[in-house]
Amino acid sequence: MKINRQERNRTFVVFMAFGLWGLGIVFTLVRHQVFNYNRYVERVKAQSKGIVTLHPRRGTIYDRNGDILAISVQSNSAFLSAKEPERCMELFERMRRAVSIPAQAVRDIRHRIKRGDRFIWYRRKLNDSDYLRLAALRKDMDEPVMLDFIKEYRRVYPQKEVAAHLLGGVGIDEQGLFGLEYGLDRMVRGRGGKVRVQRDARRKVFAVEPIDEPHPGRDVTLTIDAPMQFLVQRELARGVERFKARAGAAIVMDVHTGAIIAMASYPAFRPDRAWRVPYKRVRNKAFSFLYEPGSTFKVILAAAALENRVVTPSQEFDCGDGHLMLRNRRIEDVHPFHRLSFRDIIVQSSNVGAARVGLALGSERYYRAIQAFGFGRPVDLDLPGSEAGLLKPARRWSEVSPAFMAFGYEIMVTPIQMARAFNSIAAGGWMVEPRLLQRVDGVSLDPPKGYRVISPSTAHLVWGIMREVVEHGTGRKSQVPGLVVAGKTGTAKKVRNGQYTDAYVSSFGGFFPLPSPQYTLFVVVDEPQTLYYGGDVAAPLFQSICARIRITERVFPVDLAQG
Amino acid sequence: MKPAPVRRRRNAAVAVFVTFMLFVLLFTYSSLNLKNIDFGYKMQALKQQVEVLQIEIDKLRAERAFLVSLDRVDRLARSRLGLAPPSQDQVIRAVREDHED
Repeated sequence: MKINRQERNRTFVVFMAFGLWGLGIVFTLVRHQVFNYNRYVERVKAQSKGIVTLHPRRGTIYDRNGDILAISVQSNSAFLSAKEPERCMELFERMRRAVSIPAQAVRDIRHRIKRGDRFIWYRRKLNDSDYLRLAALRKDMDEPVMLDFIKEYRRVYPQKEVAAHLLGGVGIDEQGLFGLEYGLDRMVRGRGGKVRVQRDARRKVFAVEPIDEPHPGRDVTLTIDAPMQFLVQRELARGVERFKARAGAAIVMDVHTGAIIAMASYPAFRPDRAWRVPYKRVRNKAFSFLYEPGSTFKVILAAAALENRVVTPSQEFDCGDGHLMLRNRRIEDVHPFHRLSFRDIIVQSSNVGAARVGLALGSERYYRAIQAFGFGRPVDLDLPGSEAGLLKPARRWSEVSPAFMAFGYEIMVTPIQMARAFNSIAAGGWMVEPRLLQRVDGVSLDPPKGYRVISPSTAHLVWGIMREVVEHGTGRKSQVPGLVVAGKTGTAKKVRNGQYTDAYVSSFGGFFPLPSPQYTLFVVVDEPQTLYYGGDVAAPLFQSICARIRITERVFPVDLAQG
Repeated sequence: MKPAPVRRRRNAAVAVFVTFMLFVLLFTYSSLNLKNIDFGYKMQALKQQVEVLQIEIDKLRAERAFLVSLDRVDRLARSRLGLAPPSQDQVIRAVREDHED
């Protein structure tokens, strides 16, 4: 086919036009991509790149069986933007009908909408059904930007009141407020991070570049046994309510490892509502309740006196028919005795007899023994508010102090300190420090090192005396059929404004099953109303908890275990 | 010396080849870039999926812990099934025969 000159010229013009157009494109591309590259890259970055703060997930708290005690789950928090107050108010009223909020919050939000605030929390950490209702509302809106959601973590305690005093609670921003949530906050909380994200025109993220890696909180496994904790809490609640008492505490320890299997405090509360509960209620009485231990302290006297060979179990003492005057201070027994052996002084809980033994032991030796049993120093359990108690140095003791301290006065202790001391006797005279943490992120923790307090032979002598307390003495109501239990009762008057009152603290501590104790249990009831002796109030409570432990832990009666 | 048309043809062929190679390079570069972005999206989608599943797992674990909690089981056993713990006199201690010697 021949092409004439005119056609050739036209083709040339068309090619030239396309060529110039192509050149224009190339020129523009070169200008944008080469010469103005940095400027455009900066502009794109400003539009598409952003820094996102990542919130750490708080670690999970498990019991020793791997059951969850506290876990953080993601939830949505709703907020309003009142750019157009009138429309926003309309939306707010619709939201209120869908998901209710307290009256005070309604007033506050209305005020802020009228003011035209750009960020107003509606409700934080919504549950799933509330979120779905609000999300449906947002979907129906012409301008959804007025209502939006932020993802946050919400702390959940699935076992409700179980171990509430131990776990404590967190605030609205997941910060530990008290209990283990506070004590282990640095470990459990984790650390937030930052990432640089790149978004497309639809604001969809397609690239993520880490700036500061977030570290999730560490998972913690406690020595607590949730089922046993539940049973101990329930029995304690029943006991405290039965005697119309003010409060109570119960501690169950593993004799050999010091692991705290249950630690109950009454009254109870829900940890997810902890920040609304008054402090008095959330206070863990097991380690923050200070009281004079009364006759349970005679166990410490017995151990100290026998260890220092000041007495023998059969040595007799004058019990003054139930009265003794020391420096114008009167010591009395509930039941008067003329003479009692040292063993019977403990079994019958004679204050006069104990006072005489205390005087025979002397300040220095008694003080050293009390210190060795851990009094005067707090129990280190990563729990805030653990009290050290009140133990005067020996140089500040009066001449009669050993006599009064012999039956548990002039000294302030906490229930956990008493449990620790009783446990060291159960462990054959070896101090085993109580512990609550078993594993962190699956790695087992070494138990704290212990030390010898009294010789095994002294410990076994004290066992025998404590066993008689339960079988023939003041602790008869703590007997559990088929189980051999060793224990000691205690009743102490409470001090208010420097004066002894008619209010009492009843307690009972012991261990079982003999001859190889596995559990130490200490029970305290504060201000029981109907009865007040430790043998009438705390001993039956000890018995009921003991019976439950026997079933759940399969502690067989001695005759069965021995075949 | 080679004749002029042959040289011109060879130069044209080299020019076409270089242009073709440049085009191939450009195409490969842009397709790799596109792939990169595409994988970015996919990775983000997968990460989000993992996150959603993790959240779901946490919620289910919390739900399970609530369902098996003794507090709830105890309440249901009492209210729905009418169960109660036995009193001491209702417990009969059984001794296996091989233990009676």
